[in-house]
This record gives sequence, C-alpha cells and structure tokens, in this order.
Amino acid sequence: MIEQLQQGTVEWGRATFALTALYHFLFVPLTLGLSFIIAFMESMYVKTGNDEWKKITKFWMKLFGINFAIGVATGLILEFEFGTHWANYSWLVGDIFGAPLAIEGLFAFFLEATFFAVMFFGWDRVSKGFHLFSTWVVAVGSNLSAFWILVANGWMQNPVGTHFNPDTMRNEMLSFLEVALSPTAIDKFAHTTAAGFIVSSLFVMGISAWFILKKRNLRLSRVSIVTASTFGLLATMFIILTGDKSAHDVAHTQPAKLAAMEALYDGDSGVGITAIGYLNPNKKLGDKEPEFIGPTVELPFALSLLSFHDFNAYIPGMNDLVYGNKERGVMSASERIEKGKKAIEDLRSYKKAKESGDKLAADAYLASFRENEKHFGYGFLKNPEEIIPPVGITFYSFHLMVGLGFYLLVLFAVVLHFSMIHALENQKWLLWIVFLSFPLGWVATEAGWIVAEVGRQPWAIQDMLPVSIASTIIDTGSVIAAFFLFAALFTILAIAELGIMIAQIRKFREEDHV
Amino acid sequence: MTNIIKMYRDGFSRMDKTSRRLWIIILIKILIMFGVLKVFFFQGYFSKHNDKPPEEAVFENLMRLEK
Repeated sequence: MIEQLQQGTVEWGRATFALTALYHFLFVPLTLGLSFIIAFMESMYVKTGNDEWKKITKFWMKLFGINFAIGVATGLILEFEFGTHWANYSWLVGDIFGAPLAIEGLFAFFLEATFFAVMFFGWDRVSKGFHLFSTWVVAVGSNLSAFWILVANGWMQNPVGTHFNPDTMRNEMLSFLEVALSPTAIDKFAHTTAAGFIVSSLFVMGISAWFILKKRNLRLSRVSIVTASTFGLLATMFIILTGDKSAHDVAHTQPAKLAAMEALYDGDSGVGITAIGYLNPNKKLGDKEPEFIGPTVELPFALSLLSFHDFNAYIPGMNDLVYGNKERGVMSASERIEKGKKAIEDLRSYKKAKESGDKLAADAYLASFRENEKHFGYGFLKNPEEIIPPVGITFYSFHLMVGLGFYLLVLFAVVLHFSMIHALENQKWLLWIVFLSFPLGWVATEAGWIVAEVGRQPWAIQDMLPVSIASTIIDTGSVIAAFFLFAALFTILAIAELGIMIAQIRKFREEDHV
Repeated sequence: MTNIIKMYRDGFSRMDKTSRRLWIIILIKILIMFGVLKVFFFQGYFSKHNDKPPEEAVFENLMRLEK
C-alpha cells in the first residue's frame, strides 16, 4: 500500500518539479544574457556619448524589466516543493543546500532592492558612470546569483566535500570550497550562463529581424543585430568548449548518463558518437537487438576523445554498468545493491546499538557502514536495471541540444557576416530564418536541462539517494492538485509576459524616443 | 539618503502604464505564492509533522521505504 502511494507521489512530485523548473527556466536565461547585452550597449553610450546607444539600451532594458518582473520569485516555488514533496531529500542535503541558497537569496535581495532601482529609476538622477556601474552590477550579480543555484545542482550530480552524519541523518559540509568549486558546478555554471547568452542573443536578433522586415526602427535594429550576433557567436564557441568539459565530467562521475546520452549498450574502446540515428524501440538491456533502426551517421572515436581526451579510451556501456565487466573493472549494479543493503543494515544496527547505549557495538556497526557508504543509495533499488535512466528521452534531448548548438553557430556567423558587409537588409530569407529561429535557444536550453536531470535518474543525489526515497510519504492528491495549480499559474504568467512584450515591441517607434 | 528616497518615490510615481501593470502582476503572484500555495499546499513536511525530530522521521521513512 505504502509502495503504491509512494509511486504515485514520486511520479507526480517529479512531474511538478519538472514543470516548475522548465517554466522557471523560460525566464532565467533571458535575465542572464540580456543583462550583459544591455550593459555592453550602455557602455557604448557612456563611451561615445551617442544618444542612439542610450535609446537602444532603454528599449532592451524595458523588455529585460518585463521578463524580470514576470519571472521573479518563480524559483521560490522549487524551494517550497523541496520542503513538502521532497522532505527526506531536503533534510539529507540541508547543510549543503543551506549555504549556497542563503547566499543566493541575500545576493538577489540586495541586488534587486538597490541596483535594479538605479537601473530603472536612476537615468536622470545619478551620474552616467554610476548608472553604468549599476547596470554592470545587475548583470554580474544575476549571473553570480545563478552560480549558487548551480553549485547546489552540481553537488546533486557529483556530491563532493561532504560527510554523512548518521546521528543527524544529514550530509554535513567538510569543505565549502570543494563544494563551490567542484568541476561539475563550474562546468554547469559556464555552460548554463553561456546558454543564457545564446538565448538572449537570439531574442535580440529575432526582434531586430522582425523590425527590419517591417522596415521600422532600422537604426536600432542594425546596431542590435550586430551586437547580438557577435555575443551569440562568442557564446556558442564558448558553449562548445564548456560542453566538452561537461562530457569529460559526466564520463567520470555519471557513466550511466553518458551511456544513455549515446545509447551505448555495450562498452568498448575507441567509441564513436552516433550523430544521427533512430533508436530501436524494442532494444532492451542485455539483449542482442541492434541499437538503431535504419542508417546512422557516426563520428568515429569521438565519444572516447570527448570523454577521456584519448581516441582509444574505454567507455562502459549500459550492459557493463548493470551486469558488470570484470575484465574492465566495472562492478555490477547487483553487487553494488548488495553492498548498499549491507550499509543500510549497518546503519539500522548502529542506531539500535546507540539507543541501547552499547557504544562498542555502535562503533563496530559505524565502521562497517563506512566501508560500504559509497554504495548506500544502491541499497534502496529493487533491481539492477533501475540504474539506467530513460534512454530515449536522454538520447534525443542530447542530440537535439547539440544539433541546435551547431546550427546556431552557423546562424550567428552568417548574420554577423551579412551585417558587417551591410547587406543584411536585402537578405529577406535570412531575416525570416533569424526571426523564426528565436525560440530555438529556449528549446536547446530546456533540452539540456532534460539531459542533465532525466539523465541522472534514478538518483536525486548521485549514488546516494534515489528519487523514490527522496520523496515524502504524503497524499498523492495534494501533489496532483499542486501540479495543476502550477501549470495554470505558470501558463498565465507566460501568456502575460508574451502579451506585454509583444505590445511593447509593436508600439515602439525609435523616432518617438530621445 | 534623501536623494535615494526621492529616487524611489519619483520612480514609482512616474511609472508608465506597463510598469504599473507589471507591479500588479508581481504583487498578485507573491500573494498567490505565499497566501495560497505556501499556506494550503506547501506547509513543509516537518513543520506539519512535528511529533518527532526530523532526523528520526527521516530515518524511519528511509527504513520503511527500503522494505
């Protein structure tokens, strides 16, 4: 009975969290990237004294403000969910999440209360230099604010710098620096902020292209499109580098995710990447069915090279991780489940011995628990196959994200080229492509989050806590109600943002602004 | 200090229609989040079930779910 109730709660809790996070991340990337684009534009205004730059800055700042106002505080809902739907998880990670989230909260509050106000209200009340300073503080501060959230997320993917205390049932921080500067957190931050730059560059380019197609606001659009395509091109080149670093990190810390991203069932040396392919829906772990149906496009040795910077590196496949590969030193999931169950039993015995005041026995059980502690989370799994995330959604989301990344690289380069030779306005086909491409940054970003979060299933905290155990034992009905409430609330907010922005863009005439 | 207060006061009083609408959206959103969602749906598991310390409750939950 508990198991059935729990299953429903877990699935709806996950759906609610996914919905909230995906909606929240419609607003975040625009704040991260547009703030820097605006800061650059205002810097040009202060440097040149040309009022055109001021007009341009104010136009994009208005859209930035709309996005910020609609998106602000939507992330708090995720924190509500932690405390209610994921209480076991919240307690277990409390000390680790507490510090980064508190820093983020304080940071955001002071930033918003002071420098945002100067940015929007201070144009004619503070000096040019101080206004510019405020705009840059908002840009840097928003991104640093995101850093602390990504530190928390990075820790869930690769829990470092902590120690599990069986008395308090919490993970306690051993080294703040190790948590904050973990390679997983840094890669995540670099990759996510670069994605925000790309989304924002496409946003600026899309609206500018629409203006040019309508033969309106041409001076603003020309300047904006050059600025945005330059930012976008640089960000896309940077994201390819950070993507390489992320793949390297995933290969070391989340091998099942990497195998699912590439639908790699049987490990090998010198593994390639299947750039294009259609997954065989009948393929199952341990069978001999082919992984793909129909023709595929493969980049030989690429996965080994990306993952371990070695053409011939061995990459374990999903079968190796589930059933083990002694030759390659890969422990089977069954063995890890057994060790995990031993750790759980030792924890239970430790608690009993502690309660009855038997210190000697308690110490012995604790020592035995520590031996198998790194397999602890596996002890909660029912069968070995559970360690593999859903392959289809992980594989396709990953390929969609990467494919769009390369498409956008070409798009930014082509747009910049035509802008520099002053020929963009004659290329209607290109302007339409730019306009129609502007949601693609969001699509790629959301796909990236799907890879990161679905790809780490079954874990809430890698190897430590499966999602099924992280969830609270509560009535499924209230979780379902929360899901539909959020769906309604966020849909209304997204429609409001779209409506207000479209109205603002439509009514803008550069001639009316000084 | 007076200048800062004046900046806020003037800023709010001279806001255009869109900005006023955005502030209304922010206030309604915060009201729904803290007045409805937080109160009726997200009281926090441990503040609602406070019959035993959280560490005991979590330990018992984990052991129940493991079986």
